Amino acid sequence: MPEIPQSLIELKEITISTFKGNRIPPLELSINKGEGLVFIHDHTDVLQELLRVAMGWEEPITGEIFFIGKNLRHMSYLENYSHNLKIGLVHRAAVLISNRSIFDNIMLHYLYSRSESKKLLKEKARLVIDSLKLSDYAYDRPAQELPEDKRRLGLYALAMAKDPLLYILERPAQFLDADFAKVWELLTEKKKNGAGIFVLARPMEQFAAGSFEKVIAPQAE
Amino acid sequence: MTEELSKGLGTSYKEAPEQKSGPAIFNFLGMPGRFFLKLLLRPLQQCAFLGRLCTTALRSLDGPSNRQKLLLYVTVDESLRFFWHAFLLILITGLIVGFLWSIIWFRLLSNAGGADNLMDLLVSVQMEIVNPFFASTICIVTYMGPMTMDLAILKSTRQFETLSLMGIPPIHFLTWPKILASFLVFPVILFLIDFGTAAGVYLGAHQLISLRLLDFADALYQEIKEINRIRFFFQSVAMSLTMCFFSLFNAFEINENESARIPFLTRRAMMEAFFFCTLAGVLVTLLYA
Repeated sequence: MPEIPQSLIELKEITISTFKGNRIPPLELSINKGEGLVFIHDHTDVLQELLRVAMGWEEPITGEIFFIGKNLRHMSYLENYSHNLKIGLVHRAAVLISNRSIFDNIMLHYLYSRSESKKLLKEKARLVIDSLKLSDYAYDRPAQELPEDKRRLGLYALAMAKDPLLYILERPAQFLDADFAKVWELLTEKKKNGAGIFVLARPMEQFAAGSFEKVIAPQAE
Repeated sequence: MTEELSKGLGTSYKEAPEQKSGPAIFNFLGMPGRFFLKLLLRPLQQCAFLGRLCTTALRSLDGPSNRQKLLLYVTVDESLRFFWHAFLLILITGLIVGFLWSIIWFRLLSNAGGADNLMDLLVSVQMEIVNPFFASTICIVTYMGPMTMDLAILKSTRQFETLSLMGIPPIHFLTWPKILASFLVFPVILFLIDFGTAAGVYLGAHQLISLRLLDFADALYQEIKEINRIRFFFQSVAMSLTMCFFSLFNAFEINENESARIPFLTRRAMMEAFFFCTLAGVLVTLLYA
């Protein structure tokens, strides 16, 4: 298996403009293995736009994005799906497959992408669900019937089940409050094992600021 | 908002720039232009969608073995769902149509030409032309239309994005099982409606002229030739793939947070599926005439 380069994601000279007309100065950031970076900005549209650009869903006005050394612009249509497997994304508008339970959502991902035995995959899924204390909610009820906070935890469970190289979280502390401490503890463990964490947050949503190696807070233009 | 009012509220006031618009006649002429442009673009968009579908076809064969099992399970599930929703209506329609044939032939037309001529018309007209039309209409209403709506809801509520983040291309996982289900089940549906029609004809004939089952079955068997079987095969392939394609294409056209368009897209999907499916069936019939 090829060794993963040190730099997980690099944004070089990125400028973006949102539908509300907000812009940020040219941005340079990089996240290495085992590093956490928080990007802080007042405007939620800037956070959303930066997230879409970092994921390769939209082109920046200028600049390039590299993910594990590969330019996102040069990725083919199907390569994008392999790229998505290496990223654990939880953003504000994310949803689970609504007519399936959290467990079924995780198993759908596993069965499509992994070659291990079904028994082993089910065990892995159960471990992730138990680590987030979702056992009472994850098996019997479809996602659409769960309360909002459990659905959000389900999204984190799905992201963690992928065992990605990089976690991208948009405004993670909102709505979860007490539960997020547990999520953050698990993510910090993952960071120690080499995963990168990229958080986009508003100033009042800063949390555990000390555990981020890098903090970027540009002024709006 | 006037300048004074805005100053009082502490906001800045800027007069909106004067928008230059052309004469109304340009707007009027622009409408048919835009309409025809959309009409021209649509086949190109459909070709692009077909191209993207084909590029993902081989994903079913490569990848982990779990993926093949998952896709097989989903295909079987879709096939059963398709069959279950359509078969009862198909059988009942076939029976009613067949019974009507008997009434018309043996009562109104006083058995003109005998049972042999009835079989000839039954196979060449009813089973080859009219039954595929009925079958496709019922399939579109009971399965294709709801399928379009389900997929459009999935896309407009961002669940396609969830699948993409799981590394599952929606254009592969959500389409190929349905295409295969359509390909496998529609011939069965077509056979069922033909069977129902034959059963309906027999029931009527038995009541009216005491026709025996063996004589009826023998007469029907004599009428079904090799060319009919070939036509049946190609008709079912062409019609099933056509109606499935147009249903899927319209579902994938919707954008996120556009739930209000779902009824319109579903209606359009059903109309296009019906039109092109009928066209495909007629073309195959003419080809093998």
